[in-house]
Amino acid sequence: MSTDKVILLIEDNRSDVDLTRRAFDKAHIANELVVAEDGEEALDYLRGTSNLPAVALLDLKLPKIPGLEVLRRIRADPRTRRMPVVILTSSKQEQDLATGYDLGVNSYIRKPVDFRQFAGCIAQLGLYWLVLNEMPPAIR
Amino acid sequence: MLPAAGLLAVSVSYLLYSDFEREQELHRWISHTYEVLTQFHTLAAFIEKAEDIHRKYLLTGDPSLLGNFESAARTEESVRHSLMRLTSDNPGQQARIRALGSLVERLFVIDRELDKLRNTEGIPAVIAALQADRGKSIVDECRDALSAGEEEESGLLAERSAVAESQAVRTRWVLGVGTGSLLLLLVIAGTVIERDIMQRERDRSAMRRSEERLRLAMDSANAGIWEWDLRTNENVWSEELWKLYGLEPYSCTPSYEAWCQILHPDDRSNTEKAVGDAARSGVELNVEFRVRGDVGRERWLLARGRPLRDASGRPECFIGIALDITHRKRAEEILREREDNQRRFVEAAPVAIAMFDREMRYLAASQRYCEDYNLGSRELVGHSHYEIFPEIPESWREVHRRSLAGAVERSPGERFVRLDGSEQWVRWEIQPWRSGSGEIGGIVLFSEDISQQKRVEQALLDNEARLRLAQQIARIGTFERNFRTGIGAWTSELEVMHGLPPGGFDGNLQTWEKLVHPEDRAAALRQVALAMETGKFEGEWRVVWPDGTVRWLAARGSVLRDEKGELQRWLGVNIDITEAKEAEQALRRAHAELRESEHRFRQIFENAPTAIAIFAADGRLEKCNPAFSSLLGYTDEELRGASFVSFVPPEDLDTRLAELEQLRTGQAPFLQHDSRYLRKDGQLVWVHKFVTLLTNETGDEPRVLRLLTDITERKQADLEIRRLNTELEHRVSRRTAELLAANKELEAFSYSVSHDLRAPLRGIDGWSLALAEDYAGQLDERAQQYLGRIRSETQRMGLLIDDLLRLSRISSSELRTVPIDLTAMAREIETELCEANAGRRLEFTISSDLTASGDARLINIALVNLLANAVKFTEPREVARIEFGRTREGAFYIRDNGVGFDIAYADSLFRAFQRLHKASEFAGAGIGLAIVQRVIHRHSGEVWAEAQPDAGATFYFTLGNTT
Repeated sequence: MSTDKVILLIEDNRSDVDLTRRAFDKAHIANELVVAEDGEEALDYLRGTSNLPAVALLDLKLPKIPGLEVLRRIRADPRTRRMPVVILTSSKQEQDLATGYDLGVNSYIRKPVDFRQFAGCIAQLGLYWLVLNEMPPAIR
Repeated sequence: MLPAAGLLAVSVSYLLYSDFEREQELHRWISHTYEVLTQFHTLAAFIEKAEDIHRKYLLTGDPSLLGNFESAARTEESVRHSLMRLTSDNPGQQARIRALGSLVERLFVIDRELDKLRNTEGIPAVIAALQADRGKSIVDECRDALSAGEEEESGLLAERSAVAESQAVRTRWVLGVGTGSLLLLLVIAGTVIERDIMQRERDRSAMRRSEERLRLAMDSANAGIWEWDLRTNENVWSEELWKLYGLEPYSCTPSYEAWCQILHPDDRSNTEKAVGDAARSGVELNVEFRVRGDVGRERWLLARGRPLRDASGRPECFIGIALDITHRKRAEEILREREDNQRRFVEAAPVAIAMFDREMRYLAASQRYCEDYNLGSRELVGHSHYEIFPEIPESWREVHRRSLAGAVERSPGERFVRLDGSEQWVRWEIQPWRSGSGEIGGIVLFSEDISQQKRVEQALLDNEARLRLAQQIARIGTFERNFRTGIGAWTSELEVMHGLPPGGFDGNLQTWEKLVHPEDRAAALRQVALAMETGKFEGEWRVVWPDGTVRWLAARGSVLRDEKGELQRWLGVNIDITEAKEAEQALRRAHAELRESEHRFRQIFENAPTAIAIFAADGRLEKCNPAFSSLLGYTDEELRGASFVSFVPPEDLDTRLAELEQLRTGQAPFLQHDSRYLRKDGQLVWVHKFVTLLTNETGDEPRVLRLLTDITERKQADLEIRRLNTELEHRVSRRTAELLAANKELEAFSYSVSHDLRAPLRGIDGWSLALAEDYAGQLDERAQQYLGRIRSETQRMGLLIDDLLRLSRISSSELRTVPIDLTAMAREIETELCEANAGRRLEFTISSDLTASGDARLINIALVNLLANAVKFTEPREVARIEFGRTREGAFYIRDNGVGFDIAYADSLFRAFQRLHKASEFAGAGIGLAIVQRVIHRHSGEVWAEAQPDAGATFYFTLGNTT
């Protein structure tokens, strides 16, 4: 497992951030977890970094710029256009699912209330995106 | 020998010549006798004809008949003279004819006397004279003289025929014996010269054969003998035959061909055919033909022959005779000519005449006869009358039979229905005709087509009938009274109109008086009295019928006086005028009603609360009621002659004029709507108006009727309503917007519920687990249990939130109604439920053809919930029986054999998060039936349940109008 790959978690809820981090730890995923607590921060980070994350985990309910708007901007920017984005949210609203896929999200995962299930979910997620999935070629 | 033969030949020839001359002479006499006889018949006919015509003249006085009589008399005289010439050789006959002449002259003298008698003393005198029988005895004497003459000639004819016969026999003998002797001599001479006496015997046999031939010839005829060998075509002709053929004896070789040459061209083909037939079949020949000679002198010959047959029976030769029958033929021709003349006479007659023989065969018919019976050019002669007219009735055939027995029959006119259905009226007379011997030879039919005359008579009868009918229909009765004779006449219609049966009026003035209505009687009688003075009669009165019916009658008439001023006749008609009278009274009543109606109308017009105005075509006000004046605030004086335009707000004027145009062009019979009028004070007044055109019978430009109802108040109320409506609409749209906003808010709320409420739950769960994991060693078992409780409650809270969201989504989602196959949908759910509960025995009974209209997604949710419930609550049952069907009333139902429930709690059944069973018994948040109810209510349907504890449950639902 290449550990230089960064995971971007866009999430404003500290509890959730910590639970996510705990879940990654439990699953022995050692890659750096970059946390952006709102949409603006996330986009700033992406603009600033030269090493695009292997996957961005995007919550929908965010301060300042909502999640779906963040997704739209990621897809609108040629640099980040191919970056894998997984929506990780409590919402299961049909409308959110539809808009998310329309905007080109790679996956949509609803956070279970049960932490065991959540931890299992994160473990699979990490395994999939960091190990199994081939990264898109970088855009110059 | 030869000189002897020559001498014999010469003497035989002389004998034959003299015999021939004598025979010729005899034939001339026979012909002469025939002629005399014919003339006698003619004479008799003309005497009878002259007499017949004269009788007719005496009876009818038709002067043309007198001319006919004279000409018949003249013809009789010339016939008599020619008879005198013919009988110059017979003094007896001459004396008889002279006597006959004087008889006829006497007869004609008597006739002429009768003419004078008719002219001076009239027909009765003539009839008396005729009855005196003077003429008749002379006629009888004439007849006697004529028949005596005929008898004499008949005797002569018989005598001369006998002489001719004996002469013929004699000639035959001379010819036979002479020729025979001559031949014998020639044979003997030849034999003596060339043969030895021993050959005589054979010659004799040949001679016997020859003699046999001759004998045969003698038997059959008196003239030429011929023999024709069919095998060699050799012919032997006797000398006489050559003469008969008009040829120089032995001038050619006698042969069949030579014989053919002498035949008359007209007879050649027939004769050759007859001979040819006889030769072929070997029958006896018998043919009559002419031989050529000078024009008009052809001779008629009769040829007869018998075949002689060989051993095999084939004819080998013919032996025959030919004799001259020219005289017989001439006599026949004369007879035929006479018949022809008779026929032509009949044919040319200008009336329809037909002459028949005893078998009713036509002998002749006149041209007119053929025309009258449409026979065209059909050949009648020789045909039976009944063959030509199969339609002749039996009664007529009987007439013919009577006439053939001697009766004279006639009919003044009879209908003759033809085979094609057409009708003819025929007047006819049938008489027998008699032959010279006085026997009835047949009948003569004189007929006249009187169809035209009959048609005229019929038309006349029809006209009278029509007139009678017309009188009956028009109920016109006519009467007439002759003052001099006191005789009255009237038509039965007159009785009918007085209510009397036919023949019920006795013609008495008193009877009539009693019939007149008592109130009208005096006036009627005055009219009668007046008529006697003025000659004219005219009046109307009522009559009372015996049954009490009262009728009105009108009478018109004239009283005629003779030149002396004496009352002569009274003519008149009565007409039933009850209907006209009633109509008149009805009209009078109608007039009264009209006046009444006018009065009522005026009252209504004056008092009506509705403003009524009538405008002339040019827009001037013609008439208006007080309501109109007060509506527009004018006095009656101000309104007089005011123009319509002054009541119209200027901005409405164009519309008003357009409306008028609509009425005038007939696009609308009337107009009815609200419009504005201008008051005198300049205020506008709202009225509901009714406008229509008033046409009158004179066809003037129609006037305009306007009825105006003041609706200012109503109009104001309308405006208020409109304002309120507008406000209401505003309010509704505002509320709707609010509702939409609330909906949005609700959505946002449920969004945050789903998102924000879950996040802390996940935290509680996560950190509880973290505590349990990370500090497992420091927590005793009870603490661990508590953490477990925290986590399970947290997760249940998560499920509740999810259910709540689902419920809210059912309410907020849009309804898309489509036809749904519920049976198919239930079967799919059945499959899923069976898979999910693989360990259980589930028996589903799903009715076929369950269909409904609704939102497929929502209905599916409801159905899943209901069926899943049924599966859930049948868990204790070994076999779960679940039924999906439809009641007779149309409600769908799902029945199970599960644990059921107490119906007392049925109310809370459909409330969210309400449960009737312990959570430990059956899992679930209690949201399913709440969702079902939402779905059903959204479809305007109803859902309810029936159950008993432990006895299963049945859930019913309808889908509003869509079921």
